[in-house]
Amino acid sequence: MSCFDVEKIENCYAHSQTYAYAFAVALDDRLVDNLSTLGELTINRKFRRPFFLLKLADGAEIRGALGDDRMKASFPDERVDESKRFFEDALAAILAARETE
Amino acid sequence: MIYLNNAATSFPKAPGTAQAVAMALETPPQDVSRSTASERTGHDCRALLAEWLGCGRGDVVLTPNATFGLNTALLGFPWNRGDVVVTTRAEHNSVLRPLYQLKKRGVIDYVELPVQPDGRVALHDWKAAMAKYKPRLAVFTHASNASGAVNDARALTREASAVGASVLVDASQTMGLIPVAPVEWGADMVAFTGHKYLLGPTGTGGLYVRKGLTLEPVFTGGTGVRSDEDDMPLEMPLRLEAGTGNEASFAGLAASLRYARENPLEPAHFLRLLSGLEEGIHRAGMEYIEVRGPRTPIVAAWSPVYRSEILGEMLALSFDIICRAGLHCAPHYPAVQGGTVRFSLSRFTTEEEIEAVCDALWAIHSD
Repeated sequence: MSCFDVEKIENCYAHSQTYAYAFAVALDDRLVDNLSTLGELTINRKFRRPFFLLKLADGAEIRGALGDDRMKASFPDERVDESKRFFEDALAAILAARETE
Repeated sequence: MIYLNNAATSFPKAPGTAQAVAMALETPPQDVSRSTASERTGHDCRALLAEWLGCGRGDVVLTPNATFGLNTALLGFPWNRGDVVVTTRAEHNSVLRPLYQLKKRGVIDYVELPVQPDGRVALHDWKAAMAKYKPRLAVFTHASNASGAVNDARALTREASAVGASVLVDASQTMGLIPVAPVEWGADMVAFTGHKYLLGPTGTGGLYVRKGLTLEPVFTGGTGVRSDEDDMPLEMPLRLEAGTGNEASFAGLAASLRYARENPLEPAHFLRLLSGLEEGIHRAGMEYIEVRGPRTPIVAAWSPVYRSEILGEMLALSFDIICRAGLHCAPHYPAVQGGTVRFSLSRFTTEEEIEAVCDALWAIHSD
């Protein structure tokens, strides 16, 4: 069973490869901490709702607000399938590990 | 929530609009040409729009939106194969895509004139293009939806008319904000929408068509009159209004037009808020498209740190500020590669809301 739903986001940027990931539970610090192993993470905690932005080495950008149940990911247009698969595999592994804890 | 996406669609709507829509849905329909009802009562949105435009009631075709009106104008125009159209690079896709379709079908060719950095077409460039191409039709937006710069519709129309061109104006961004006066300008067609600065419901718009200009209908069907004829009637606006219209939403638009008539806009209010917003954007280390002269209440900005897509998400998710990020469906206006974050105000926007936006932009960029 998939632990998240994914949906392509249509917007007016040229060659946009942005996807929304929806979860059954709210995004929390622990999940974002886990994700930080994938790349460079920044969290703006001064905002009314803290916003995180994770930049992966392949150019993918993952972001969202803590407490929300969705986050977005933009993948590099020239290797979107490979980048998306890498991220989704890692995300699934992180969520599966949490479930078995 | 702070809503600054009024150039896309307005919120809140004019007081009384929602009630008028509800009342129309709860009242027996009054379309005298399609029922045995003997008397039309209730709203007359067409008459109110004609009053707004300074034209006759029969010159106003009701459409679901400006895109529909622009397609009605462009696809129904009496072309001769090989005609040339002159337009600008600041146009919305609702102009560019119908033109592209016509070109693809081999009907016309068209030229997109460069615009100034603020999105406004320079009058001398326009005049030179009219002389060079002698177009059959000239099409321009009254105001750029990406920057807010307002074109001098009267002067552009005059120059186009001087070489014998017909003129189509896209007034999507100005109707409800500043005078749209097709008869005074001498324009042949003007398309507009009801759901932006007229503060009406979505699903409402229209097309002014000059008396004497006959467009071929893009859609044909029931008109409720002259049902024995194979062709659509020549009588306007019936000729371009096949099928039952969106009565409830136009009842809402009528209410919003009455509100606007009774509560004139105060341009000084907008200018003060725009100035404050631009100061805040500058203070946050961002840049924006500078617009001098007549403008709509838009500021299009970009960040040196974040892509506009991400900046827009930050504002929405972390601060409940709704704006629009992207190319704004005007893909040939190269103001900023990668798009902008566009803040578009309404008559209901407050100073407190602008301060909150400035504070949010400062917080985002002060890390």
